[in-house]
Amino acid sequence: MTANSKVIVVDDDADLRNSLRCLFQTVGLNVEVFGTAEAFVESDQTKQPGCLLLDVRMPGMGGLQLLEYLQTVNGHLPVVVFTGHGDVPMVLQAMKSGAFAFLEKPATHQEILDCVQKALAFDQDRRRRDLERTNVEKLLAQLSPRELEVMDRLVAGMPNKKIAMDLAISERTLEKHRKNIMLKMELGSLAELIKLIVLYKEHIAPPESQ
Amino acid sequence: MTLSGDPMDIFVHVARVIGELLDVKVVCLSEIRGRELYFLSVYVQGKTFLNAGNCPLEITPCATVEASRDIQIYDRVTDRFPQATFLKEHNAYSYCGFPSLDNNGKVVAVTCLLDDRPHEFTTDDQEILRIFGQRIGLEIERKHLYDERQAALIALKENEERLRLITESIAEVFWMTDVLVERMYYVSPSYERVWKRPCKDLYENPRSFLEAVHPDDRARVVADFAVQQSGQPFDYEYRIIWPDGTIRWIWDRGFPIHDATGLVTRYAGVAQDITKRKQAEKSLRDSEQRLELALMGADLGLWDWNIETGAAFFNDRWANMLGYTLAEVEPHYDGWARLVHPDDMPHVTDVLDAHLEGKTLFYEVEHRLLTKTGEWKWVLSRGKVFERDSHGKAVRAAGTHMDISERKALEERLSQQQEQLCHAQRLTTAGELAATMAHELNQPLAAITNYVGAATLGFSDLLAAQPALQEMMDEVLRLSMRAAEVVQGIRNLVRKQESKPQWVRLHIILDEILSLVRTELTRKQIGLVLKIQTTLPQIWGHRVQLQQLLLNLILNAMDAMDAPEVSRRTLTLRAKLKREHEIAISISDTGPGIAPEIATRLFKPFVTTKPGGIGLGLPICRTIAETHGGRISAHSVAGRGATFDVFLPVGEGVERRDS
Repeated sequence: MTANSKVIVVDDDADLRNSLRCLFQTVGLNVEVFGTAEAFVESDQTKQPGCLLLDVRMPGMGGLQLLEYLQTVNGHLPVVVFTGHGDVPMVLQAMKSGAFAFLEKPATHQEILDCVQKALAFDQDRRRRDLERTNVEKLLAQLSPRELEVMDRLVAGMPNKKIAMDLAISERTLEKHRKNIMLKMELGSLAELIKLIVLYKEHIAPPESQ
Repeated sequence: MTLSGDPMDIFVHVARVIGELLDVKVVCLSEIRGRELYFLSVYVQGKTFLNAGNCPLEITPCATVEASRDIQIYDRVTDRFPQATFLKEHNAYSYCGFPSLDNNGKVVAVTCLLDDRPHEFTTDDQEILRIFGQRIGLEIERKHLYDERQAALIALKENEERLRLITESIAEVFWMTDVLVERMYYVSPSYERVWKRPCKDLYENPRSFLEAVHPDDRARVVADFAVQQSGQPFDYEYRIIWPDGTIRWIWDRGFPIHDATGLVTRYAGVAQDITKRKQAEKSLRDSEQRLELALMGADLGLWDWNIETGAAFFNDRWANMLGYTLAEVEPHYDGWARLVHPDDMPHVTDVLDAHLEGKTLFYEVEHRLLTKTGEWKWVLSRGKVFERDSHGKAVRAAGTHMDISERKALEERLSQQQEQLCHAQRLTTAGELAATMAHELNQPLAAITNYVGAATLGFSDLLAAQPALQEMMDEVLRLSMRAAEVVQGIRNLVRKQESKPQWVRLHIILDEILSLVRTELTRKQIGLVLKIQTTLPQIWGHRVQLQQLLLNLILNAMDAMDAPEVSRRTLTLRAKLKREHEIAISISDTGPGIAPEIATRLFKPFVTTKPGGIGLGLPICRTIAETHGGRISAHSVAGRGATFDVFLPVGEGVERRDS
């Protein structure tokens, strides 16, 4: 857990949000509380590392609308939604709107902490993967168009001869491209390259490709 | 000398002839009437006088003539009858009087001859005078007859005059014809006033009055002449047309006149202008017809009740309304009383008695009546006593029946609907109360568990050292969870009673709501503007809840415009498809707007501006909107009104069938 991650509570009930602040502080988490969805949006912390604990039943903008708004923010923090017991439509609506998890009231302090911890872990993991993805993208950006063409074919498992023929280059030129690629990607072996690119494409690609 | 003519002429003539024939100075022809002597004609020395006066018979020598019934002759007569002044006047010396007798031998006249010198009356003279005497007697008798005739004639003339005055001054036309109307004996001058035609025409052509008779009536009048021939009295009415085209009504009555043998020879009668009466009759008939038409138009049954005898009159509609023919209804109070629903009878009787006793101005009551098919039909009966006796006791009452079964059915349906809605509202309110309670209690309970949880975690060392405290903390935690579960249990219980969701059309819901509030809108003079998109997708949800959601908002809007300072009252309902899967409904009023101090807490429970309100209306609306996956919001401009927006997801694409 990174030092700057934070649990943000948005609830219109002051008693409840203060009790949550107390609970989270007790277990050593950073906490910030807001009385309305609008106040949270104005604080400009939608991309704050951590997680958001949200009561859907609020006047004004309301929990669901805030959820819908966060959908439009790339890389927003995961949202844990408090719903009434057995409020299935609300749960469905919350899930559709991209909630990370939901907590049925009444929930025990342990359930709340577990859920928040999961959200924080998810956020941390996502941020880490984001970082990795950013790194890979940074490395890939150094490759020339030709090197990218060569790399795509290498990762696809094409033999050298075939790649050289495909691109109408000599095998020696190909070997040169390959060395440059390994150099630029800071990798030691072809196996490492294939692993990195496959993982990148499968797991840490940007959301729009999902 | 003639035997005809006025007898007085003959008397004058006779006196002169005698005077000249016997050469006397005076001849006096006198009639005896009673004991008085009347000088009918007097001859004096070549002159004659008529009706020359009278004197008592007894003082004259004529009395001796009357008594002896024969000629009497006197000398120095003035000396012998000094009281008879006429003798002196003529200086009479000689007197010769002879009598005239009637058929019965009674002396009716004495004629005397006077001379102022001694005069001898020979036997021949006396014979001649006796012959004159006879003749004078005849003439006296003739004179009596003549006088009688003259008197009769005068009396007749007077009679005729009186009759003429009567017939000419009366408004009615008096007429007399022969049996066959071939001759007009008489028609009073009023004919000219009534027929506006000259009497002359009628005398010339007795049937000319027919020319004036209205063509439609003429054949009938002519046919009635046959009645005259049969000698029966007649009485009929017909129209005539004046030369200026005016139509008048005539009432003509005739009766036969019999001659001595009993044969009908003439008809006499009276004809009278009865146009005014006819007009009055017509206007009466017209107003009766109008009443009938009005009753028909208003589809009213009519009853007219003689309270003393119980007899009643009902019109056709009265009977038809209940499926009977008029003949099937006994025209009596009982005929009605038998049909009244027994449950309604006590109330109807109370209302009726109150009116009969004069405590109410009208009798008006709604009750059921038995129809022929055995069903009960609601009628509105209204009426009034219009005749009371000298003691104020009701004698006659009349009124109407109106079929109000449809209105009653509608009222019934409305009240059922309202009841349903009320019931649903109670259920929803109970459900919402539970939900609100659950929410409001869950919040502090959740806070409690959070604090206890925090304490347990934050002070684990302390708690490990103090197991009793740990135990207490665990109990607090357990009990607050238990309290939350109890609240939840109540809520679940209520939720079970709620109806199943279904496909709902917004139009239908709005129609149902508007049918409930339309009367109220009119009463409160609130204009209604509807801007409802015609094709809206259906909503998957609870019909009654959605109804209540919208009804609450509409009633709130109406209440908001109740303030007297609101001059223009308009309720605007809008509904349209907003985005792809959401229906936007808005309810706007032109009231004073939402007070800023409660604007932020508007949807919180127990916030209200209404006296007596519990402040659950809008929280319920919010719960319902949210239960349907929608939301509700409000905005307002102070003094310009408030608008509540409800957004509901449409059925497609929203998986809520398992809710």
